[in-house]
Amino acid sequence: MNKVKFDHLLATYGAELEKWPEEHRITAKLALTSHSDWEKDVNDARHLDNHLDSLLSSYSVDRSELAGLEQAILDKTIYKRSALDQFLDWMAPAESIWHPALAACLPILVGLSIGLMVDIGEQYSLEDELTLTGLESATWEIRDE
Amino acid sequence: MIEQKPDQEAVLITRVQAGDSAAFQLLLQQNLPVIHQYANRMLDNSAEAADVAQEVFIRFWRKSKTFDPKKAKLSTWLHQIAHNLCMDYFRKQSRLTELENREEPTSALLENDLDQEQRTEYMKLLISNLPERQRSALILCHYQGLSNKQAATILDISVDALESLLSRARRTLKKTLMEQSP
Repeated sequence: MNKVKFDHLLATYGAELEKWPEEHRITAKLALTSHSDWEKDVNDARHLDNHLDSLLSSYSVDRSELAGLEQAILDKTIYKRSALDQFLDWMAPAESIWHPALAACLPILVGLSIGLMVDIGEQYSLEDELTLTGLESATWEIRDE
Repeated sequence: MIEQKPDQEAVLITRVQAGDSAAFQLLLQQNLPVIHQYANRMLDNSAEAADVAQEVFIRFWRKSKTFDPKKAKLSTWLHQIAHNLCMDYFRKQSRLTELENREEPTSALLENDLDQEQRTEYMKLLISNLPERQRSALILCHYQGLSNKQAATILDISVDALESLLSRARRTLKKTLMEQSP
């Protein structure tokens, strides 16, 4: 290995030969043993490595801190259930007997809300109702006669 | 990162592809710390890094069938997803231009009496001032311990291009440290 190649690899991968590409490690070690003056460059590169290594542990997160994140991922992947499953779970939970009763009331509530929302187009007043009732009674009386 | 034999990893991935939740959980436990750390180093923000890591594994679960363990290591694929998400984040935040316009660190930060914490912050600042691709290359190779081929795959460049990025990053850092050391 010549000096140009060695300098290029040193500038690229740093002083730690174990971090160099595998195919260059042995030749680099041999070159270093036969060129002791190259050691100075290695030491310069090691100075930068030491600065870089000062950040090695700075971004590591404690395993326990990751546990919450791990659970959140599991909830959104393997534990994620369909809306129907979630509804069925809500319907028949182990801890409450009220949910089935509430679920049974659901059609009534839906019917009421639809009934209130739908505009039937005709509005009868109390007066109209009385008039219609009166007419109906009169009709019965005529028939009786 | 927990090292495991490639064939063992391939078996677990095949099980995940078949919908095996236990295999997914195992691979999640093994790879989450390193992926979270990568995102954290890239974004310098633990909360955002958690979001990125979460999205990486959700995509892994949903799209595991698209991954071929014969073509790449799982860690390479996960890093690649994380890297792309980080780039998306930067694009949204317009951080790329912001980084390029960031002020140079002052020499006052390199005084002899700086404690370890201040030196660490100073190095963080120096690295964050690097152009994005140089920074990515340095983080993948130096801190994540990936091979040059893995890092090149993640960045979608050739090994030669990766080496060029790495050497430029290291030269810039070395020059700054030499200029500013007392």
